[in-house]
Amino acid sequence: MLFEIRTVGYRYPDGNLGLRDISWQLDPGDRWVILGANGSGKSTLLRLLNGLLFSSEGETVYRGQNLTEHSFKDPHFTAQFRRSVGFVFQNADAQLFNSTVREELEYGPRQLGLNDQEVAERVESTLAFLGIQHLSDRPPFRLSGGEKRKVALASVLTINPDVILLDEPFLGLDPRSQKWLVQTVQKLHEVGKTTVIASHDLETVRQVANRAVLLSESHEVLAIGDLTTILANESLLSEANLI
Amino acid sequence: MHIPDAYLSPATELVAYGLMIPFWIVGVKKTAKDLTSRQVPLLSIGAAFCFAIQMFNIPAVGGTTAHALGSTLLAALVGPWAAMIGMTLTLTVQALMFGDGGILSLGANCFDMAVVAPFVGYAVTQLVAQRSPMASMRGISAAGIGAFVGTVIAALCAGFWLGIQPEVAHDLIGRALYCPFNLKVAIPAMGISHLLVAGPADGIITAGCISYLVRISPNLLIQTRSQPSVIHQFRVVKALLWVLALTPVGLLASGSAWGEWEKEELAKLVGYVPKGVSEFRPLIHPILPDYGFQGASSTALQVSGYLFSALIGTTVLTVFLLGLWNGRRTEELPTQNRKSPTHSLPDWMMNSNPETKGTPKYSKQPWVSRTLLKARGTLTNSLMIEACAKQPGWLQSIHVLPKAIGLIVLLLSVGLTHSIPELLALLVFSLVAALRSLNDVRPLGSRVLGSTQFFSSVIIVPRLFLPSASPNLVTDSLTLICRLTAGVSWTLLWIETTRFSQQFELLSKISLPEAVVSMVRLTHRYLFVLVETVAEMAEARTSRDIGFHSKHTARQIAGDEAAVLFAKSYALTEEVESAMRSRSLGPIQRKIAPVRWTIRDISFVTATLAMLALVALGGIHAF
Repeated sequence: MLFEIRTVGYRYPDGNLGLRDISWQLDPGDRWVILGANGSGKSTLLRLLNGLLFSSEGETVYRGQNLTEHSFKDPHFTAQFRRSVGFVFQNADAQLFNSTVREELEYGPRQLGLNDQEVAERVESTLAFLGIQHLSDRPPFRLSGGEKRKVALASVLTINPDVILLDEPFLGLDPRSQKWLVQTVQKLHEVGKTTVIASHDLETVRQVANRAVLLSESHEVLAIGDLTTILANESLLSEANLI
Repeated sequence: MHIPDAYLSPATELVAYGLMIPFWIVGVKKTAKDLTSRQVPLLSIGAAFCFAIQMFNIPAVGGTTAHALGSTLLAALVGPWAAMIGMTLTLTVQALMFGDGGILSLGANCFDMAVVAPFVGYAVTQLVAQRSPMASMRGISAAGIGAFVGTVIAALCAGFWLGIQPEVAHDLIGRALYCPFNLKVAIPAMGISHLLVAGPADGIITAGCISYLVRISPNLLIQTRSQPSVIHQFRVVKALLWVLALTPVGLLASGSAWGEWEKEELAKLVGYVPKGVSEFRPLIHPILPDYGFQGASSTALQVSGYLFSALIGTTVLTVFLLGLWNGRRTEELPTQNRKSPTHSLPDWMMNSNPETKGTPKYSKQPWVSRTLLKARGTLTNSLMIEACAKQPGWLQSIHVLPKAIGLIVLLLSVGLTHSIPELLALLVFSLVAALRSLNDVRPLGSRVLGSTQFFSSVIIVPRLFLPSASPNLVTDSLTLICRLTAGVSWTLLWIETTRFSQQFELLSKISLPEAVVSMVRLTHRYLFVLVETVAEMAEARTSRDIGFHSKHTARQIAGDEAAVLFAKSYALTEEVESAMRSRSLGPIQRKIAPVRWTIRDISFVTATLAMLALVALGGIHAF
């Protein structure tokens, strides 16, 4: 089992409720989508999976290891975790913190112990894969919205993680880029990557996931299981304020 | 470096305001000339940026903390006068809305951080750079050195304001009424922490930001440098430096009790070096390196201590600048043509990553994340306070202008009185006001305790160990603590019962130019945007920090983060400017509700004036 979430609850430091009583299991190669209205806790759940936030109640377990603030104090565990789990943030602007696109893409692989040539090879092939070679020397925040998203995805892909978490990846993309992203995710599935996508785009998610977690506005799990079954259940979706 | 209320005597505060007024007038006039719609968001974002980097408190000597200022960076980008306005904005927002730095001591704080820091920084930059352009390595290093010197000198000024307190304000038996540390303690305490920590930090941030901007947006720097007024400004700066050098002396000489001191002490002062540096026992001495214990170590040791601090500070800066020199040479790459995606996954993506050899190391420091959480918390807190200010209550119902008058009168009373009963009366008044205005006074109470605790311990603990501890120790310390508590209570009450919009309204009402008011407004707004961005950036980095940093990346991280933040903010100004332009339907005309003096308003102001009268009468009795 890849991730196991046991009765997890999360409260923000200001006391607001983020998540309540979530139980969920993910296996390698799964294609999950987290569905929910705005503010239902999708991003919070992804941050728990990425070890950026830690549950206030219950446990989040990754490959048998409990994710806590303490477990990340072990550099070996952190290194193992961070090279296996990648996170594409919703706000591409915040995700990009280097001075050029190339540095942004190099940031991960440089920490993998690869030599300069290997790093350059990874960066070039990723740039080519996404068709963004022409951006390589531009500062990331000078790019258009769609380009930023591509660079943000590329910066995670160069780490070559086994699990990729994507927070609202389809938001604000034009139809063509959306189609491109769907194809990219499908290719990642072909090589056995696990993906977890947070979204409220009920149409597009059908093409990139087969299982779903549906969150209610009270931050609880409404349904968990087969995506088509959940999407067919209109009363459930309206209970989640999605339709 | 932010001096809180009740730490300086009202006379000092008044002098500082007096010093600031000409600067403000000239600054507004000078910037208003080229304060285009484009510069308003730039300055506001610059101010918000300074606010954000000032939130990074770096642990310094003896358990104190220090932070970078960002003034020289602003000066390098927009010129020293505009930087002065920018820093004033930062400090005003900090004092009025976040309770960081006092309201009455705003003048002194502005003098240190909005005048001395940017002007000295700018002058040193010019001196070191000579005629080299800002985009050259020499120009960039000059800015770094300028920032270092500017911050240190500004800190010394703050030390000066604090250090003269025991001399300018003591009662007949010689007990200090305000800040109890003399120059021998205050100047080294401020000087060393800034020589060692904040100065280098400021230098690094400044040089990093500029080298970064040179690469991504060279026109920005060329624009500011090619102004013919630069040379002229430099002359002004030189003249100012003289004025600055002379002001403290003039100030000292004006006091009648200073004749003796001037001759004997000043000579000592110039050559004075703290003994604490050479001893350097941060753990044993929890607060300040030395409290003026006399005798013991020799002057040679003391001198070496000072030199040691300066050496470490400048070494850190030099190493960074050299790193910049080696790491920053980017060759011009030919522009690549747009190609379509290859549509096939690279081979390496098919397999898992190879095992990494070596031990992972961490470049991130825990205090970065701690500070960010704190900064975020401060902002969240200020929003909760805003909600509090919207609730009905006694102080909330008083019009903002009478309330401001009342507050200033009260803070003056707090500053002027020397007797504990009077201070207690002021405290009781604040408690009554709090009970009548707030649903729950506990958060206010804990905030007051939180901010006085630190300063009280700074006052009491060292005094207990002073060999010259007078028999008045208890009353002495009690007076200071009561003064601080009363001052802080009233300032926080103002913040908790006055909405942001009302504060802006007040600034308009005291006939500040509309451009300045909208800059304060924008600064406040951007602060939230910026801190949120900083926090998200840190999170994004954590998510991709695997732990095996090569030297190359480790070096880049140091300089880049602040620079990227600035560049991002700068990119934001363009959008903001467009947004402002697209909605601007002519000059802003805000209708400000005229003050209708209600009975409440009148009674509040009367009550505060009565307090002041009481204090004045009591004061006459005390002497």
